[in-house]
Amino acid sequence: MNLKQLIIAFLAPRDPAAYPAAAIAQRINASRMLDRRCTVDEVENALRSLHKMEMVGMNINKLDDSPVWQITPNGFKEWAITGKVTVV
Amino acid sequence: MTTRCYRSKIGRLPFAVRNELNERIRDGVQGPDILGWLNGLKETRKVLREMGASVSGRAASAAPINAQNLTDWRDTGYKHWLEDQKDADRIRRLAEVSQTLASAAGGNVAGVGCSIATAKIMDALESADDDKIADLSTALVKLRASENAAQKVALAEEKNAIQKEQLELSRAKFERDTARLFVKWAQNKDAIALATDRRLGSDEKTERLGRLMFGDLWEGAEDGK
Repeated sequence: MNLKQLIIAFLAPRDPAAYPAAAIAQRINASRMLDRRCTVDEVENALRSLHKMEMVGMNINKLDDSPVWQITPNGFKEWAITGKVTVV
Repeated sequence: MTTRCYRSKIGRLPFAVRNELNERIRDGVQGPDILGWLNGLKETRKVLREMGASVSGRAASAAPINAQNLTDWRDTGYKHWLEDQKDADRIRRLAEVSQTLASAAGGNVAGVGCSIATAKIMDALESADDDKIADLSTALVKLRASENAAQKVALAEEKNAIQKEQLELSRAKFERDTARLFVKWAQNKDAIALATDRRLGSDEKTERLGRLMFGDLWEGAEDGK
């Protein structure tokens, strides 16, 4: 699975939880579902790309003005198509 | 969930095909039906061609997927898939509990703050053991039950307050109407004569004044109609 699919596999089952990119990267790396370690920058880029495809939504955490990400209905559809794989 | 690499015919199929196969097995579709469907897919034919070529070095296809291949898959890939589904179910349940907790703390369910709080609670729950989560779920159920009970009491109190207010309004209206009637009938000579007639008792005065003021309606009221 590629990074974008893994991001969806992390966010979708946890809906409506919204996570910062760093937390997503840390959890994907901990799951070892990617054949290499991913960086926070890579995850941020992938999230922006998914955001353009309307598969994730972005909000601002008002406590520290940082972006947090959560799944959208389109992201859910993609998750279902890819077999509802879950990053545990 | 962990990444797994399968070297079998079925294991080499694309993820989406394996996923559909697992769903069919889970749904109780019979082996012959599954094999018919699976061997008819172009993805399967492609895998068989690749496997045949790698073995013989020629453009020969491997044998179709058979019952033994399917049985092997049930013992490996399908079993792993079922475990993964359990993980997904667990995460979903935790997400629901987290959202409930976040909203119970006063968060707007649709709000960003609630989503962030849900994520924080999820982090804590995912690292907790199942017993603690079960205790938490029980506590949540009790919390919900007590919230519902409190809501019922609040509704009943609200209903009582409305009824009391309506009674107050009725009483005020009755008093106003009575005062208006008094003003009107205090100027009526017949009414004054009846009210001041010393030969009549109180009940008789009431009866006659009632008839004078309300006519048939008064009689109806007396009959309890």
